[in-house]
Amino acid sequence: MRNAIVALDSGVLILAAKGDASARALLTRLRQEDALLVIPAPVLAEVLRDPSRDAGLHRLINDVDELAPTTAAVARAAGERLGATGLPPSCTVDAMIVATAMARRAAFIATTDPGDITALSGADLNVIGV
Amino acid sequence: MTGLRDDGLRHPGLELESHREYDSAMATKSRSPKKPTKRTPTAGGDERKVKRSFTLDRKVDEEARRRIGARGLSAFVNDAIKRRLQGLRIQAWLDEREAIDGPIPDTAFSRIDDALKKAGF
Repeated sequence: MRNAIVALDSGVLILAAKGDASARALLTRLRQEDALLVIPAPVLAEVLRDPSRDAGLHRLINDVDELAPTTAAVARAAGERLGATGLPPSCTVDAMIVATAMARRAAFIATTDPGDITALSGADLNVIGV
Repeated sequence: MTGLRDDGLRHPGLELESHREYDSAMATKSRSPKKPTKRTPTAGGDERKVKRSFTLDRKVDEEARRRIGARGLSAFVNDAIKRRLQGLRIQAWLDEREAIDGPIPDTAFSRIDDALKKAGF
């Protein structure tokens, strides 16, 4: 789909930074369709650990250069979404990623965890399982 | 071709009356020693604005004004350029990864094409 806004979740970012073929194939297709890639801010909390070892991730985050912020309203929506699905508190970050992607008006979210992300997205985001 | 002044905010020291002035100013600027700049990821756009003058095909200009109006043109152009720049950076990244990891196998493209189709992309 031309010009779509596509959010990337933590797993996709980690795979891509490692040079994984599926993640590279995904980014190639999204590039061919002029998609705008967006990284929801909570993804940073999930993927960044040690600045001395995260160079590949930092490079990719800088190249995407589109961070979607998680505001108080988005955090509230994430909590309500988590409550509605009945998923456990361990899925809180996923809920924040989904809510942040929605607030940025993403139409798609690319994820390595399509089960939980699909449950949290409902009909509001189209899930690309990588 | 038709000239079009961007309606963004004014940038101190860069108020130009024509394309020629702009080109001249940029040429002068390019001869000045540059400090290295570090780009940091932006959240929802960078609030700092600069004023630029650029040229559009008349047909493009007319359709843009008809579809989005003159007032929305800066945001429209900014978004288009932002997308293209991201695309160029991602392509450079993909090219570098290919040099390191080798070409992407057809099986990976098949898997991703199926996933994109399933998602309605």
